[in-house]
Amino acid sequence: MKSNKIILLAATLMVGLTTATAQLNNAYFMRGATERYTINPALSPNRGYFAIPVLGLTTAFESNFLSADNFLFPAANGNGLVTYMHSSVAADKFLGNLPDINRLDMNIRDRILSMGNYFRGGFWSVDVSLRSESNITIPKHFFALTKTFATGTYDIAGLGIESNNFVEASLGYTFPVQDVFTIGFRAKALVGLAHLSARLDRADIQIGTDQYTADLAGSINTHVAGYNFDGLTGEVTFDDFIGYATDFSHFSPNNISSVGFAFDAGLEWTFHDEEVRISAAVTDLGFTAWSAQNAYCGEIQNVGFTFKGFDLTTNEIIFSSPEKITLQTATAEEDESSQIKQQLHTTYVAGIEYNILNDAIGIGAVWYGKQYAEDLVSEIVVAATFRPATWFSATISEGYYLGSNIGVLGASLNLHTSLINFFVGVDHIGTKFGTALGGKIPVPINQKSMNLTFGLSVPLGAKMF
Amino acid sequence: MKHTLHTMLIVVASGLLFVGCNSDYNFDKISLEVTIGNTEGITIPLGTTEKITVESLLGEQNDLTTDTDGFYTFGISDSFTEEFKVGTLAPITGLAPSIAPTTIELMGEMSSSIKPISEVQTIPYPEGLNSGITIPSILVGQKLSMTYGPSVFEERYEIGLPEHIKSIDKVTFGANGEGSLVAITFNIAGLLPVTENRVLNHFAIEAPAGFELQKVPGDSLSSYSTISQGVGSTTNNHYEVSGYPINEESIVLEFLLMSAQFDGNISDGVFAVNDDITYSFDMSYTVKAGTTGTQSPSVKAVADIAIHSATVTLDAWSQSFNLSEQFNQSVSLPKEVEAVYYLEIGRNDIASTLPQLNVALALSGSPLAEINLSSLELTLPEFLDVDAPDGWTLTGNTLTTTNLTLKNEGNNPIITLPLKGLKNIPISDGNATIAGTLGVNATIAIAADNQLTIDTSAKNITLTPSVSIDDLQIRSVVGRVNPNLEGLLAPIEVDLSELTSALGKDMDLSLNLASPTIDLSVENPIGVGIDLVVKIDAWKDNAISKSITTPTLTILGAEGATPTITKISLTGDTPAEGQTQVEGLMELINSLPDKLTVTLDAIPNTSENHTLIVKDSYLFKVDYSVGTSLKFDTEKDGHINYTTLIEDIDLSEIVGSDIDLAIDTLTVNVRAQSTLPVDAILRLKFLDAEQKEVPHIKTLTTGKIGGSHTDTITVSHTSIGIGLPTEPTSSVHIGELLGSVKAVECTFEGTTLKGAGIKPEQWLQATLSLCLNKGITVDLGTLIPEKEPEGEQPEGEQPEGEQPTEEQPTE
Repeated sequence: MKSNKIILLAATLMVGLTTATAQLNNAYFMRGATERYTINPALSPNRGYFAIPVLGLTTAFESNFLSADNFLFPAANGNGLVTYMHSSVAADKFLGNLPDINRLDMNIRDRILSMGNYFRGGFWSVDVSLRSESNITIPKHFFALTKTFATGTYDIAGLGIESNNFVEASLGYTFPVQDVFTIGFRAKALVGLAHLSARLDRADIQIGTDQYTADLAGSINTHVAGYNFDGLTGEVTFDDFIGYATDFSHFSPNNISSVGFAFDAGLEWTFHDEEVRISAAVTDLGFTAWSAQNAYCGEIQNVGFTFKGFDLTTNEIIFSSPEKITLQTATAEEDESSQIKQQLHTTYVAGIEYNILNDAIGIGAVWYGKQYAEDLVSEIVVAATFRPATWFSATISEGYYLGSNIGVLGASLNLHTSLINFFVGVDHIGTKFGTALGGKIPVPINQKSMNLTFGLSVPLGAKMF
Repeated sequence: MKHTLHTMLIVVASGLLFVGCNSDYNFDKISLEVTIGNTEGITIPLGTTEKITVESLLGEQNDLTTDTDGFYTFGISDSFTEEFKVGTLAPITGLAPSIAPTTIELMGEMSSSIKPISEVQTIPYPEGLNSGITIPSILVGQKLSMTYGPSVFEERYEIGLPEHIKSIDKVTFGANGEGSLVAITFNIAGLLPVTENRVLNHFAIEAPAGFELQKVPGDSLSSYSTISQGVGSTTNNHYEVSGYPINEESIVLEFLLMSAQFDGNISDGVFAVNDDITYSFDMSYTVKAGTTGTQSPSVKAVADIAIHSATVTLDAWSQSFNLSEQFNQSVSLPKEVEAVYYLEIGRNDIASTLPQLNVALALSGSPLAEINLSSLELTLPEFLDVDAPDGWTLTGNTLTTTNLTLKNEGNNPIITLPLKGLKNIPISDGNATIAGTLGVNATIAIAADNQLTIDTSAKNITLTPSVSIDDLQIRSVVGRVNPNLEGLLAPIEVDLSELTSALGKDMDLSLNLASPTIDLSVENPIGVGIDLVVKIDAWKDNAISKSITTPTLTILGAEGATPTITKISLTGDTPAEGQTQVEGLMELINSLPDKLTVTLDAIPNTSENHTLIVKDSYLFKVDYSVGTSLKFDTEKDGHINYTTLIEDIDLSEIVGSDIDLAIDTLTVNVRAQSTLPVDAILRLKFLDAEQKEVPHIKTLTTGKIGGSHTDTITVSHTSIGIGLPTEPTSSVHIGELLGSVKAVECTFEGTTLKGAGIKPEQWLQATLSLCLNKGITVDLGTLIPEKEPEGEQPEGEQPEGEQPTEEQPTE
């Protein structure tokens, strides 16, 4: 029983830490790849497929700060690297490369069951995937604190982690219209597995000459499918919380109540003898409703730590801290807010493709816009797709995040024979590498994001185009 | 197919065009040396001291108080008494002289010419009964009567009276005043034969008017006799026997001549008395027939009249007398008394009461109950100081009064005279001679018309004077007194160690306190003024460090019994009213000596007369106080240099002894809040367990703490730079280095703010922080245990199976 608890906890953490959604942007122009169908439901693959369960995996780590050259610097003596905390690294040099809010998104999508095929002129697909979308937010002041430890006030409010983990079951249908248009729809049903949001709402850390203080307040929102947290009321210690959460007796399959719905839609217009293709789509237009029945919401209120040095008489450290840090469970009225209706990160896509040489080479550009709360993060990917054979295609892309003048190299490879469909691709390939293990392994230096999509499926039916 | 491969190569190659290697990034060599606080250094709070108040520093001090402005005032006050012994003065007793009595003759003897009476008168026979004739028969049986008289026994004599008797009023007869017996014998023997049935109808005897007769006790004729007033008499001068049957030959009629009242003048001291006795009788009888009378009846008077006393009326009488006696007594006085002008005295038994001189006269022998005393003069000895009592007049040393009445019984107080003192007593060899004369002059007098009963003897009155004086106690001496006060007032030791220990024994102090004062309050119980010179010695480390001497100060002598308190205030500053400035006193106090020795050199001022209240001993009381407000001088700087040692320090626990840290310079930041009126420089010195300065740790700069001239808080930010060794390597095992620091010597060099002062609530609080100017550099790689090369035995480990020997102990 204990081992089960540990497994559940580890799985939850794993899901949280390696979360995934993700899509491979440069797969947009690879017609044999089933993965592009997830980007735009109008872009159905050229034949049916049955994905090998679990092996259809897309992982993505996206950040705006986490790169080797932001945290490691060449030693002044030219002998190896030093960390950003080395005295030879100026604070301005280190901190100047960091945005105010440092975010690391970790998304993963694993196809558990996925298949699709043409039927009566349209393409039908059924897909069951495990999706995990997590992010860590670190204010810049956090790094300033660790680097300088200078006197002053550091506001690291916002430091937090959020993880949404759910099962997505979808039914898609794509059909041609007047031979030049293809329209695709996909309806998604979402079943929430686990949600964790932990955040410091107030975190003032003051480094003074007289004392160090930390004034903290935060909140935790947890939803675990099938779990009933009604037993946690009032002030709850972390030990109580962990003990409760790892007690399977609070789990009931009948208590899974966090669900959501989403909708994908796409359009492709081909013209000029199909040499030019214009497409657009919106995906993940929907929400996940994390039910209050499976929720625990707690607040950490006004936790203060103070270090005032030493008692100059006894030499004892003067450190004040709460006797115990407890979570104040939300009251019944506040429980209504524990039912989180969480908007999915809706993605907008618009692409154009021009194929030459009898469709052997395609040059295209696609714009991605991903909605993060109030922010729309845009990326333009320019790709060259090579189709030297009917069973092989490859893409080299250069992605540009709006606001950044540095392009990110990507590449994909797709073997789509009549027996097997294999796909592998990355959107982010570092252009600068260091060396490790005596130069045997290149290590990207300036790469802040990384994704990998791997797919293996069995083709179904005849090739449709 | 070939085309496809070419295309694939082109794709891969074109991808590689975007990829490049950076040789600067060798991930095999990543230094884990991190520096915390590299930019501005790292500041580690060390802590905040308690709010160190002056009160807490000084501790509980008995000698420190606060004035109305709240400033500390140091004051030691005490008092001592010294007894100046004189010895007990014996009371003066028996001072009154004894005056002999005097006798004054009031009157001489009283005499008389009375002689015994023995006279017989023959009574003629009644008619019909002639002697020798036979009674005719016709008469027999016939009742006859016989009447005779009146006849008189003449008795004349004179009474000789003393002088000063105006008249005689009454005479009492008899030797003892019981009356003189007068016997009248009526003899009828001749009638007996011829008569029978004899009845004495009446036999009346009558003395002159004014005489008083009385029956004789036991008189046989008492039942027949009566005494009554005679005609024209107011006294019972009539004696009569009635109805007495006569059977005997003679009848004796007796009565007592008791007294006689007179209304006659005296002529030349002689008073003539006529006490003729007239008698008559009436008798009846029956004649016997045939008888013949042979003898005539007779009446015989026998008396021996004696004058017992006489009641007389006196003429006015007076006589003066003069009595006197000498005083002469020697009294011992204290040797310090050189001359006496006046001795205030009191009763020995009740000192608060004035003694009294009592003069009385005892009158004896006077026939009068009271005698007037007039023109009384009481001449006092000159040494007595008195006031005239009521009714008396004091002229010079003579007291006079008009009239007094002396009673003839006991002592007659003449005067009760309170004695205020003794004047002008000559002194010789410490003895005072009390000498003089007390005289009593007066006239005794008897007023006219006093009635007096005198006997026949002479009359003298005796005046016995008695003089008494209460035992005296000398209460004060007015004169010249020269007490020997040398060494009487022992030197005063004023212990100032509490002040110096309060401010810190190890302090180097030069406070320049504004107004140190030494106050003396001297109670002088003797009436002698004293010239006082005060010498003050300051002691430090058992040696006199400074001495000062005051000008001559005047201690007033006592007036009366209450000691005079003279207050002296010595100041080293500009003197206020009533203060005496003493040169050097301010410097003397400001040197904060361990103690002061105050020597009081007292010399009596004998230039004037004094009044000395006589006591066995005199208590000189000296209250002294040494005080100063802990306010600083307005012109001179003061300094407080103080060094203290903070011991039992173990910095290794703070820094951590197991980590190699690279530290260039330490700075101790001090944020001092102070209301102390002292600007201070703070120095630190790091000492090892042997109290030696730790090498390699040097203080580079000193801290400065600003003082507050008012009660507002002055906040000072200061820092003390501490240098650490940088050679041979910049990496110092800081735990080991700082761990050797076992004590910190803190030196506080303060400069007092001019005109400010010290208050209990003033405080200093320091918040300390340690600034590692270039942060702390830690090589985290050292924290990661290195992997042991295969086949190599770690140092210190014994091969399996081998046990350590005693010579090779394992750790």
